[in-house]
Amino acid sequence: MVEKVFDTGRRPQWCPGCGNYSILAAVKAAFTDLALDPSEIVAVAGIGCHGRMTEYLNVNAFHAIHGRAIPVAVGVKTVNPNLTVIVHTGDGDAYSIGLSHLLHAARRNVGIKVIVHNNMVFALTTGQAGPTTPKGVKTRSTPAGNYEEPFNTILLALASGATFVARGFSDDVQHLKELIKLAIKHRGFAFIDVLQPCPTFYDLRQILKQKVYKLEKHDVTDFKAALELALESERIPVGVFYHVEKTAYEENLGSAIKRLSSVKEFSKIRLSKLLARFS
Amino acid sequence: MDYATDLEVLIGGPAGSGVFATGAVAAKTLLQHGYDVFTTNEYPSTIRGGHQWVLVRAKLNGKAFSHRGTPDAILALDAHTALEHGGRLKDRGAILCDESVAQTLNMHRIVPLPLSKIVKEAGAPPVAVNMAGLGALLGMLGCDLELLLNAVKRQWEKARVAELNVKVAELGYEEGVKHGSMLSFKVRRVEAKQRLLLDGNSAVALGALAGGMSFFTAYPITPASPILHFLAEVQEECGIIVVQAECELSSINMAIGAAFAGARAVVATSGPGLSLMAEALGAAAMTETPIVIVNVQRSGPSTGLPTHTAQGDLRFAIHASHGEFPRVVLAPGDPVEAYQLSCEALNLAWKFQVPVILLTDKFLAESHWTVHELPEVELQDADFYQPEPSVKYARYKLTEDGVSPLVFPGVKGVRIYTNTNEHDEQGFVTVDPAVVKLMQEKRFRKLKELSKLSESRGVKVYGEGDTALVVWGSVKSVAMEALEKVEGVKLVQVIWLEPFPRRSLAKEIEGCKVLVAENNFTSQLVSLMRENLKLEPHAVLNKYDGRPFSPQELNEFMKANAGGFHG
Repeated sequence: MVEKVFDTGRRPQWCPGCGNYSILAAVKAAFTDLALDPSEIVAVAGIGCHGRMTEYLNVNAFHAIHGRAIPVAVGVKTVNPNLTVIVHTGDGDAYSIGLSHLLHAARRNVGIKVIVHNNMVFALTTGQAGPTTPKGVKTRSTPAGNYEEPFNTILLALASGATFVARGFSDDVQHLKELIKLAIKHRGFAFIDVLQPCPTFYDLRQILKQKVYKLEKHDVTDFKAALELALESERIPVGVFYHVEKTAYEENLGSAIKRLSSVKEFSKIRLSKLLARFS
Repeated sequence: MDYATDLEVLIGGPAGSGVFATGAVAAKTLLQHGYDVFTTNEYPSTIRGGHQWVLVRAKLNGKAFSHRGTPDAILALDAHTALEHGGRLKDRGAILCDESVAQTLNMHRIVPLPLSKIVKEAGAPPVAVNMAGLGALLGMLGCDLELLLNAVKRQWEKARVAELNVKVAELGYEEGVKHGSMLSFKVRRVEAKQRLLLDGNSAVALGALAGGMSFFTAYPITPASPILHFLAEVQEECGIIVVQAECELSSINMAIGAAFAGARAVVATSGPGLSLMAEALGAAAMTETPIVIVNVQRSGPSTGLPTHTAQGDLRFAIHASHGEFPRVVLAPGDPVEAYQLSCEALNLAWKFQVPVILLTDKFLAESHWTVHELPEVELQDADFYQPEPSVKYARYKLTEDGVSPLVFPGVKGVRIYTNTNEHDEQGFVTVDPAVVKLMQEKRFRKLKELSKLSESRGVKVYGEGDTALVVWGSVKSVAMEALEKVEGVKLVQVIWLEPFPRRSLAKEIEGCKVLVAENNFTSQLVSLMRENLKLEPHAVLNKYDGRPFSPQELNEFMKANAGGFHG
């Protein structure tokens, strides 16, 4: 039972059958299961259909500009590591215009939780091909069929040094909820690529349902095994590919963060100490 | 024998030959002698090779506002330096160089010195020839050896390196003393209070610290990187977070996130970086997140002259990003103002919840001035929201002054919704024309109070006269120097560029013959004066070759256009 506490009371508005409904449900259920305080959560969203998540999730929220949700979240998490910082971002947001931020946040192991609403198409802009649109697919920007290769997003995350790499499927809310819970509890950067059918512009629901299978008996600390799984193409594994513990970025700044409150009392004594080098 | 009351020395050589370290030691030594010191430099965008120089000016009675451009002595670490700058050497001056370099030169006033031999003798690496040369130069000028060696010691962190340089400098000094007769003017030591030799970049960093900055982020870019270097160096000591971002798109968005979470955030960059930040600048404005952007201007467009100065970003700073929103643009003219305005920028950003852009330039950022004491600045805390039971928090509450209650994530029972979409009071997306109109008007209501501040603080005046030379930014320093040889001209400096101090500027130049000097091609300050004051200046001097004005250029400009000139 999802508590109303994470609900703004606004009726979600997406296309009927949109995967975003399920992702929203999974996120709220994960927050509920973990008994999180909504005022201790910050959701940062980018631009795309996923962007409306912040309208419905009753937690602190920052609806950022296109592609820049991740750096905003990095700023938040760095300054206040006590907050649970969730990034909702789309495939256009995270893999196209804002790709570099995803890779660098993973490399730094900043303790933000990135949920990519990957519907493999630019939907809010009414159906253009994106960096995860498979080859051959006809969209409004690829009327003769897409001739570009899509990114392998799990490989991207693994190659960037992400310490938690998972894939979910929006149709399996329970499974996705568990992935989100693991991500939130993870010490550093967490990445979940969520396959999400877009019933309006690129409806893969039936194909995904056939191809998706849950990862079992996989050693999540085995990087090479994770790479192998990421390369699977006939079937699509969902679940945790990789999960290891490393120092989170913000932990390196521990001492600075503790002193944040005292910065405002930047005293004359401290200033004069700094000035010695200029005399 | 004369005592030098206005001395200028130039140290030049290929990049990588330690020209800057030499300049720094020379400047510190002269500062310790009680002189008022100014230094400026020029360098190419390369790490090895290419010509670079540092110019050190030292005045005994009075302030060294800027360079003179006519060195009394040149330390040439290569032949190119002698050939490039020898023509501007003063009559009684001297060009010091290694014997091997001297052999290739057919010039007057050359002083060949056994600098390489000294370095070898001391067992130091060949690069130490710079310290041998500086020792010789300061020896010839009759400097105090102890003050020199002390400055040398402080320049290098590693004890072994410092030790070798001290040895080389001392041997160089002894050699210089032997040639003392070549220079008829000598440096004198006078009692002086401890003073600072401060560059614009450091002043900005210090001002931000004084203004409570707790989060700084930047992507490396010339000439703004020294701010990052300095703050990274003191981050532990000051308890601040310093993040080197992956690009400027990231740095400004990180700063926005940090400010949203409650940190006074500053981001520094130069023109190309500000171009990249343009979209997020609007995001800061739309979300009413307080951030400070330092833009150290360099010559554009595009990559332009990465290591050279310009004032070409004024209009860009005022208009960058799509749509319309209030912002503040401030431009200091020297390190003291840079310190003050950097602190003030943070105060303003947080009080009004608007982006503030601090415009400096390469000349201000990387030149050093003698500062007797930093002025008192005050961190003014913003008003923060106090939760009230049964009242729903509204991030964008409509208020009389346009400033809505601010609070940070983590307060029980409070939901903060910050939105780059147009939004209602709660932060929810809206397209309702009535709300859209109210929100735009709310944001712009902040201009009322900001304009008042601009009118009261935005213009500074120096001297008196019926001619007004109007400048902004670092041109102020050169103009102060030029002004010393002029009567009947007052200097009017515009510090607040946005909102523009229309009335106070109009008042200051009323009835005056108006001259304007700017480091750009399109006279951007003039365009603001036309727009705000409906005024056409009598004459405009533009410089857009990557170099600051020289005092002589400003003098000639004033001479040609103003009455009452006695220069």
